Amino acid sequence: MPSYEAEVADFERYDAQVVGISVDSIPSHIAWAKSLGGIETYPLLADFHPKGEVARKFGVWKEDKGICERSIVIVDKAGKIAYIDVHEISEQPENAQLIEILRDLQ
Amino acid sequence: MAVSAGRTSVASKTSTLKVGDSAPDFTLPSHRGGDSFKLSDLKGKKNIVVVFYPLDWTAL
Repeated sequence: MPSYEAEVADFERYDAQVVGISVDSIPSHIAWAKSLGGIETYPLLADFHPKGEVARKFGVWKEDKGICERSIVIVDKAGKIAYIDVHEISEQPENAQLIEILRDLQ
Repeated sequence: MAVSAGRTSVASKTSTLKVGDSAPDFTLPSHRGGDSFKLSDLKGKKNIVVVFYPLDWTAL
């Protein structure tokens, strides 16, 4: 997640807002963000109660582990899904690819 | 868990959604405090990059 903080200007150029979602609670998000030197440019959202409700809606819930898939969904200004990437859980997707998608939405 | 950058995409759809579908709306609290984040509040204003990640303290 911190990598988005560093490249926020690139996302803003294409009218994009990043949001992070996990099943962690708000106190956990706050403590984690603080440990990383602060995350100010985008919100970490707590899909905590009812746990995983939003992940379920988006079809990225892993019932066996009680967490969500590492995945990125780009929603365009019309509210339509423009891009989906369910990712290998041990990898962080590259931002360059996301920027390309956002540029194409302009 | 160490997390490296990579391009190993597993799928370009989920069990409930595919490209072109209307995004499900949601409202969730933010670590920055203030009002909860509601996806549909940004309709017509912003493209939203929704990043689901497994757990805090992992993706570095």
